[in-house]
Amino acid sequence: MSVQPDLSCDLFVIGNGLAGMSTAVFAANRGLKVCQIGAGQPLVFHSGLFDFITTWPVQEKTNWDDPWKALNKVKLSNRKHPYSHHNPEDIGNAFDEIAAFLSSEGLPHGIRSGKNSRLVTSIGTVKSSYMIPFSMLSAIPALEQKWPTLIVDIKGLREFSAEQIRETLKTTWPTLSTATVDPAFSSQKGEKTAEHLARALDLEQNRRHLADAIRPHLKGHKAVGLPPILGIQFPSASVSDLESKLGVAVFEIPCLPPAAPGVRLKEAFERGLDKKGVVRPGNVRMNRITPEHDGAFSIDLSSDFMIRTIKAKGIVLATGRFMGNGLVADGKKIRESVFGIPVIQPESRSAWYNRHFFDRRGHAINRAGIETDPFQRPVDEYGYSLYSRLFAAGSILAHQDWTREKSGSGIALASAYHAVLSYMELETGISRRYDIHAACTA
Amino acid sequence: MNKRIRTQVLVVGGGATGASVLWDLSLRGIKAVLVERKDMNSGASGANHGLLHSGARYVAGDAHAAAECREESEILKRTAARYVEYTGGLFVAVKGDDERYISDFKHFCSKVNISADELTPAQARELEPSLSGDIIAAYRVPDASIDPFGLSLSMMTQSASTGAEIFFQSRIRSFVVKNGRIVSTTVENSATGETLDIEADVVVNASGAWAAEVAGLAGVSLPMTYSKGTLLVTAERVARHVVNRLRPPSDADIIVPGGTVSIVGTTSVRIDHPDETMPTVHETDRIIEESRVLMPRLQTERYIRAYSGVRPLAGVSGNQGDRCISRGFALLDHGCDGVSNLVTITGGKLTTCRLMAEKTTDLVCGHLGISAECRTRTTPLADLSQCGWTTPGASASNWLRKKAPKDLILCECEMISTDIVDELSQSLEENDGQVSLVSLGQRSRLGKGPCQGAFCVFRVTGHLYRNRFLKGKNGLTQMKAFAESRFKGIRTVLMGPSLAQAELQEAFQCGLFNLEQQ
Ligand SMILES: Cc1cc2nc3c(=O)[nH]c(=O)nc-3n(C[C@H](O)[C@H](O)[C@H](O)COP(=O)(O)OP(=O)(O)OC[C@H]3O[C@@H](n4cnc5c(N)ncnc54)[C@H](O)[C@@H]3O)c2cc1C
Repeated sequence: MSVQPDLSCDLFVIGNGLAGMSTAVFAANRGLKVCQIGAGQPLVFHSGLFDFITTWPVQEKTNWDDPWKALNKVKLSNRKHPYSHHNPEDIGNAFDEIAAFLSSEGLPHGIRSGKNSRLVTSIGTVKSSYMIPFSMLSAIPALEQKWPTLIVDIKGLREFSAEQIRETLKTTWPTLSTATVDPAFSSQKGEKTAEHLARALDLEQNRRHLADAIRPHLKGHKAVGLPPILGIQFPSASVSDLESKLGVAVFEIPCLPPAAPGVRLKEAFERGLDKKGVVRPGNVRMNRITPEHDGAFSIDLSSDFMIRTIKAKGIVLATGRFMGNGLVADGKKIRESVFGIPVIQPESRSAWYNRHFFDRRGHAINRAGIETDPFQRPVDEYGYSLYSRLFAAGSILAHQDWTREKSGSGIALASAYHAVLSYMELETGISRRYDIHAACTA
Repeated sequence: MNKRIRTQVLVVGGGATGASVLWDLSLRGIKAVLVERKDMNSGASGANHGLLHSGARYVAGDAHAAAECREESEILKRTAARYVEYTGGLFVAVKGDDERYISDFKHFCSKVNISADELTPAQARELEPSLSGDIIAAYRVPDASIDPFGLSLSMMTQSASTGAEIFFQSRIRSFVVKNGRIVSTTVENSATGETLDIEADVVVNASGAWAAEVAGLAGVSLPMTYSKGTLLVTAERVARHVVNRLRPPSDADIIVPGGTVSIVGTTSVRIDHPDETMPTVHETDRIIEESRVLMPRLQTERYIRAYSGVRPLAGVSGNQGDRCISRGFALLDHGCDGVSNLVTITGGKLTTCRLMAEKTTDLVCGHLGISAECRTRTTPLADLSQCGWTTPGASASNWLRKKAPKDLILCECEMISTDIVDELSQSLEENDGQVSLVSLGQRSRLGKGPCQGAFCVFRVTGHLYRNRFLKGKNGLTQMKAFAESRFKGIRTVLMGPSLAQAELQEAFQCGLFNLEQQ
């Protein structure tokens, strides 16, 4: 066991989901010294699609093509919603900054004229989302204009069924057809995973095999839709390469995670953050957090090999909900796991869930979480911030129901952005309006 | 004109009792048709404890029922061995339990010939290390657990192979009664809306808690009350034996192992209508509170599901509480009510389903003027491979035994493979049933493992499309229906670590796939 020297940083980020990773990006982009910890691999459960907001109000299932209009409605009707703390310009900047970051890591994304885009999922439903990975962009005009499209199954890949997509959509999109291929590169027999296939398809020769297997099925098709398997490191190059090999548009169809789009995000964030000098000690436990007199924190970390104390001027809590262990519950109460921050929640367990899973109102437990002040700082029962430099971001925030609103990624990005800017504003005393532009050129 | 068929006996209800009657009739060479409004075992036979009673539980209160259980459980252990796990049972008392009951127990058992070996608390804890340290007395009895799905499916399939006809999704709509006889019965298919007229010499009403409703259609009034019982399923098997609390029957005093899980219960709540089978958070808490006295780990155990069944109580109970009068069965010849060829068999236990069928079939034979001997006492039930998929953990061992290279695993928690899904889907189609996720779930462990269907439901649906068992938008409807039916079971036990699983499921179903908007 070695005792490592103390490390000091500006922001200590707890959590490695989309909110935690984005926080680290925003902070590092602004020259802050960042240390980040997390557990598991939450990003591999990301579908690749960055939702902003589509459905509001949830109980009426009103879907918006223009998320900015939806955002206005949210602000007008629910002043406690996390989005209510953010101005539209900041939200737009947050999306742009993450898009630029991901693009520089080989994962370009597209936003179509500031609007939500509609695309087909692997179960044949149509989903509307905001920021779309490059590898899925052609799916948008394909659906809009009902291009004659070939959906391709890979033998042994259980998360994807081309027939399911064709059958489910056949009345609205009659020009879909399907084929099953068993490309020569995949020596694996039996079950195949999307991630394994995607890693293989980072190689040009394997894409050639795939193209050879698909080509005989092309009969006047304008596009080919595939499960998300076109590479982990360079998916956009792989898509373009396959397009030139086949002579038609190629797109990936989002499917049940964990799959390649999530793995790509995880690896891109990790690569990029390493380059930016963000310290990310792996496999560590957080034993204790001690608030100091000056508002800073002292954090004791340990692993099987070392113990280390981190001095941080501020902390961003991005631990997620139950899946991320940010929230935990016994049979009676929901608690916040790191600081014991008061959790806004229903009176008793009987009120957590409605009787029916698909109840249009959504379940009360999903709106439980922690409340923050306008600086994105968690508050106590009386509405006062608990610590002057403790911020919270992402799905742990109360008063939102991201699975029904389709707002998960947007809330993560917007609240992470807001947390970092609030930290800087409080630290420097300079109002944020002045440094946004400087930051973006940095 | 409606489609018409003719038969000697019409059996109403596809639970364990109806299946047993059908099986008994078939073995006696009598032509029979069974109609079931939903699916096999969709009533109490699919929502019970799965305890094959040695009879010990009833020795103090009802010696007759105890003796019946002793004899019937011995028979089923021989004829239905494939569906019985001979776990053995323990009766244990903890500090504060009624001393008098404890000291009389062995004597009562010996009066009805049930073996009860006295164990020291230390011996009991050696057999079941999870038992509480507060045990003051323990006995070992010949309890066992039984798979009710395998049992019913096997009896039905074997009857069908000798000519009996079975109609699922077929509800009795009306009886045509002329001159004190049912001359024809109209059933309606709930999926297609088509109707069918069945002419039978005798009608057996084996519709369990719905017996009053069915008898009512023939103008016969049958006073009945209903008691709802709720049970919890643990993620792991917490004991090898059946564990009973050694006290007069009460709430949450039995823990029954079933394959890789355990079932803890029950509660007893009066309800007005047999369709009220939604478990509540209150019942869930009550079961945990009570059962942890026997086994402290049940306080923190992970529960994967709760479900409720309804006990029909023929006649109105006195002031002793529902548990005291409920365990015997009622066999009623409605000749005295003015309908000469209608017989009702209701109440009783899963353990005594064979006996109930024997008595019923004897009565039916009398009506038909046939003398044929009952053969269910000695005829073993066949081991049908497709029946085995309902036992927790069973598909894993079957799959390992016969893994074919093309066979893909669709559900990792319960090791359900493409071959299993194909085999079940084919037999569903052939038996005129529809292939649906819910009906696959009734015939396998689909969605019942730790992930509660978060992953496998999508894979199985995709596979069903691939092999053309599903068409059009049907898959979306099916996925929603399946999620809804699983949710009914997990809603009250969502706490602790299972909340993460629920969150993941909602992230997939709603967040990504928009299923709630379809
Ligand atoms: C909570 C609970 C725990 C239990 N635990 C045990 C135990 O551990 N051991 C034991 O031995 N016994 C146990 N029992 C008792 C046992 O479950 C029942 O005695 C047995 O399952 C009854 O079977 P059945 O076929 O008579 O009724 P059911 O299984 O209820 O079957 C009746 C069928 O009739 C159908 N039906 C209704 N109306 C119509 C209509 N109009 N047309 C067509 N069909 C219709 C229903 O859909 C249903 O499938 C338990 C019961 C409960 C409620």
